[in-house]
Amino acid sequence: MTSQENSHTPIYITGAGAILPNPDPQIIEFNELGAEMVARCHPASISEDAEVSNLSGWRRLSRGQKMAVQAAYHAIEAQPIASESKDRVAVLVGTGFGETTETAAFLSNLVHKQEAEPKPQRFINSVHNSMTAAVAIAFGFQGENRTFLQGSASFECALGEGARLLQLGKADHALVGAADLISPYAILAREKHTTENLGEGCAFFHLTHEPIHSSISIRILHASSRLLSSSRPEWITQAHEYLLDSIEKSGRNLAEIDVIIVDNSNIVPHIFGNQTHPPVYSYAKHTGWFPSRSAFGFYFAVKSIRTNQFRSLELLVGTVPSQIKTILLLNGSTEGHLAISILTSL
Amino acid sequence: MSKEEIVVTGIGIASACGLNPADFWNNLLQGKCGLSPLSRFPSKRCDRYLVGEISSGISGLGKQPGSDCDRLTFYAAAQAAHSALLDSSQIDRRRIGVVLGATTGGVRNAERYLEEAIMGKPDARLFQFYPASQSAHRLAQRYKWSGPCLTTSDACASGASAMASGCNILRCGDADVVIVGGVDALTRITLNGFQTLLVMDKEGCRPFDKKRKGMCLGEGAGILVIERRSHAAARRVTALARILGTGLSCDAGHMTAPDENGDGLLRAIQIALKEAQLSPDQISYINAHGTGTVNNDLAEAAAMKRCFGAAVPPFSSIKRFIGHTLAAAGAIEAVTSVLALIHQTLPPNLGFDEIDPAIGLSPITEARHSSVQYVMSNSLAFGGSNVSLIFGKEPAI
Repeated sequence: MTSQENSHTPIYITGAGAILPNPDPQIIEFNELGAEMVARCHPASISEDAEVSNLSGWRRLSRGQKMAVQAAYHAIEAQPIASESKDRVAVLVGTGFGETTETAAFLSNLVHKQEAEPKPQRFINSVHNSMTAAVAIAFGFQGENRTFLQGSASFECALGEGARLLQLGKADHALVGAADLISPYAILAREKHTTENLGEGCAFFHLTHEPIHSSISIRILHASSRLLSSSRPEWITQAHEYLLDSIEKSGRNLAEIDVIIVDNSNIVPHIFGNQTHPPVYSYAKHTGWFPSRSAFGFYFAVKSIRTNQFRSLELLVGTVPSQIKTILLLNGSTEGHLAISILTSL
Repeated sequence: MSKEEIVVTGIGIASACGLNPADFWNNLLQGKCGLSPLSRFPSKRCDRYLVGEISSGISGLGKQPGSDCDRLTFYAAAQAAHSALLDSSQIDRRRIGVVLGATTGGVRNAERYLEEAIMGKPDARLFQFYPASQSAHRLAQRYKWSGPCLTTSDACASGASAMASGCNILRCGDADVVIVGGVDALTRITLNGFQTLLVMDKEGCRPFDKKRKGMCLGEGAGILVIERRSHAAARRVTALARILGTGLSCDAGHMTAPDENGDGLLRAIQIALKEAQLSPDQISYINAHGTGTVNNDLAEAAAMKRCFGAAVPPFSSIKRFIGHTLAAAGAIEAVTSVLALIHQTLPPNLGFDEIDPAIGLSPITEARHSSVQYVMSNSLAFGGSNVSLIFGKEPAI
């Protein structure tokens, strides 16, 4: 891993928490850009659980920081981390844009008011790693604190590095997450794809070497990402090779994979061609678009393996499987990244 | 897991003090400060502030479309790739990864968009290059390097943490070669942001000096090519230095202020020393983060004193030469560390006149020839992130 490819040390997910996009779309107005922008959006609901909102400093956190702290809290609920281990807890977050709502607000103020009234707190919050740092501060985690940006593969970059830290013995626990917020800059950067609804949210996963209970823990067999060719024919060839290589390194074969989970891209037919493959589910309609939404595919996969059933996912190809033991997650586009994760029950 | 040594086989740089490693190094040794009054864009709040601008202008580094960070990255990466013979070696490009530290990315494009919006017709295409991950992405696709591609955004420690991630990728066998580094360009948002936090010195920073008043910003890119020693040997490329240890930690205390006792940085240093299997007394030189802010320099000095006791090695900060280049800082300082090992010379700390009793340490203020075996390079950042890197002299050089 980024794969478990060079290690015999298994890595388990012992907890998962998520702040999901609200299924009901809302109208959000952005005035930061001078001209009003309106979009159909699915903002996340932050419920402010009592246990979380009592954490020191909660009220001062930004929206993104609150999402991160709350999702992280739920990820470690099942296996609380002892205080003496806190310097061995790494926090890693993938995000496409960071808290760019804060960036937009700070910058809009600068430009429209000729630098007269910049607000320092907005600048602090706009730094990409502020959500990651907020988690460390909230729970006292003193291990590596890392933030990864890589468009739609941001979550998998964090996941891969978390796995590497565990494999190299640089951490005992890796709290790996992803977070993105609806923002005007995200809309502008996504100009070509505005037909899709916009979402936001945050998910965290607690990774360790030790499973806590077979019905709760999930094993990561493989997690990696590559930036493939921008030429579609080359991409298809590379993606097919990469998939076969990843499945082989996971110690499974294609027949042992029960389900494939993707976003709404058309990568499955490109990669598999006419080859028979497991049923394909998508999480796209549930999440709307945001760069790190593949973390929700991961979250749904964890939940599905635990409960042996699918909820909230759309069946794109094939029939409902009789069991959900091993899941292949594909996240990518035919112009660049491809991330491959394989999860299985214990 | 591979425990094989990791070596640096190529370096590249773009900075206010030089647009290649040779010029950069010569200017450092000659004490030539690269700071100049801000001219890149108008700023009411930061007018005439000294900054580390690329004097020829970033557009002079390349005409291809993209953000300022993209151009800086391509410019420095081309040097690094050339010096590591990547362009002539037969390397499986699927086994070449890219890990780049970045914070601002195309923020300047967003600023231009808003500036144009005031005039009436903004160009939304400016946002095509907005994400800070674009530089790594475009660099990898430009050279068809299709291994892992990551952008680390750990604020001012991003360039150093990218080095650590690159080493992790090599140790886990996920790539054979990794292009690591950091990049950031000057923007209105960073200038104003740090100014509102009251941590800027408009006359330029004075790291570790008693009268230091704050930092000054700069822009640039530092890129290194790293690989396992056996891989470098197999393709007959000369190793420039060894990377012996990487240590990372988080203060987990405050979003912006470093721990005043240097606890977090000390832990990062200790992790790096342990990984390098070195004792503190073996470190020949420390390339300090040394931003020139009151808090940073106090915390950093506290960590150094706690680790090294009364025998703190010679140390210096290069921030007065090029400004604080944010995500590029750790990478440019890594290049500086490699150059110190190659040339067996320590670069000076500009801007230091008077010892601060609260710090109780004096950096070196003149370039100094020395036997340099092991160099430590430290970085601290927003969010409480700390990174310590340890480089070793390459025996063959």
